[in-house]
Amino acid sequence: MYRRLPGRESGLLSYSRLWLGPDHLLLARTTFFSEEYRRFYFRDIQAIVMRKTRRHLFWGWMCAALFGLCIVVLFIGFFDMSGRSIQSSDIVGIIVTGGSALVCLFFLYLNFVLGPGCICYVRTAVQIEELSPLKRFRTAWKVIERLKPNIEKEQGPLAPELLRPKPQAVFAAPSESAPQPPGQATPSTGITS
Amino acid sequence: MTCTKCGAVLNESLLNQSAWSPCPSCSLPLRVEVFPTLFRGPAQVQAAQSVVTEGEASCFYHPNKKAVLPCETCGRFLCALCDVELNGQHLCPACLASGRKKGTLSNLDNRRVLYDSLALTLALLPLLLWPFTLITAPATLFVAIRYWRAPGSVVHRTKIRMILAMFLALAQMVGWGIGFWAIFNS
Repeated sequence: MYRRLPGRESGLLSYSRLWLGPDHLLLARTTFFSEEYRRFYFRDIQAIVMRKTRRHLFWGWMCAALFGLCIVVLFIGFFDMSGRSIQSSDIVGIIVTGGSALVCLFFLYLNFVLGPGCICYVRTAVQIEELSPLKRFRTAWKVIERLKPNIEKEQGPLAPELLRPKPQAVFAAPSESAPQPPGQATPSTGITS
Repeated sequence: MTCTKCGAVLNESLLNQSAWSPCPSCSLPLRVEVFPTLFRGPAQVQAAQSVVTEGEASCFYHPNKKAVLPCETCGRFLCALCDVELNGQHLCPACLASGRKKGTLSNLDNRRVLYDSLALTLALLPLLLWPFTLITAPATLFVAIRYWRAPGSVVHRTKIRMILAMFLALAQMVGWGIGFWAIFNS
């Protein structure tokens, strides 16, 4: 009945996933031994909004800094070892520091491959909900590409004229805050309290 | 359509673009995919019609209102006000409430307890401190048997966790049995 969609948000004790239902999108959040569901019916979805974030840059710099730190420690270690014989603790140190550097490099590569981060929202007539499993633009776009045909099947295609900018009114109505010319009163509604 | 960060109104030129477009107010890059429902007005609520002629079918819950269709579960006649459409079915409020209570209408469930995961955790976690399996193995078996028919996750359909938990619990109990038998015989 449900097909799993890409993307996952993992917390310390919970995780969220998105599922594609026959007529709705299901956001399932699992905490310990219970699961909570939010359903977004295709006929109700008005828009999906993505906002670019700089989270991937932060993690990129963090991994790069840690990788650099490990390399510096390795160099200092090698410089220190050059004047004496190698001991077993040196080998352990090289393995630990080198291993940490490789892990940092792997995460740096992974962060690069996953691409820019984003926050994704689904909007209906009565709510704007964050789709927390969609943290990367590439994943979010994949999900949107899978949702689009289902939404269009329910709502029909979007008429292009709806997206054309509306012409600005030449004579704008006077705003309430605009100063009134002297001698002119505010139009009365005829209702007195 | 508004920006999700600052709430500024986004004009039509920002919608359904193939690249990131900055919000006119906060300048954050946005991509907005809109669908036809956004441009439609609020849905018209169909008002129940009064019975016009004598002998015309009336709603079970509102005898003075004209029936428009029967409930697909109980067959009672319903007016437009009482008709609730769910999963392509037309139901009356009583069947809807009953379905929700019995758990037969899965689309109305907002929360489920995952007894299969609970049983599997009960079977696996005490293996780290194996003496606890003396208590947890029967507990696992109890949970697995007691909640075998309980509705599980909406998205997972198999009973594999339950079966695995029962198998592990039985293995642990057999292990304890052999252990006790060996102790008493020696």
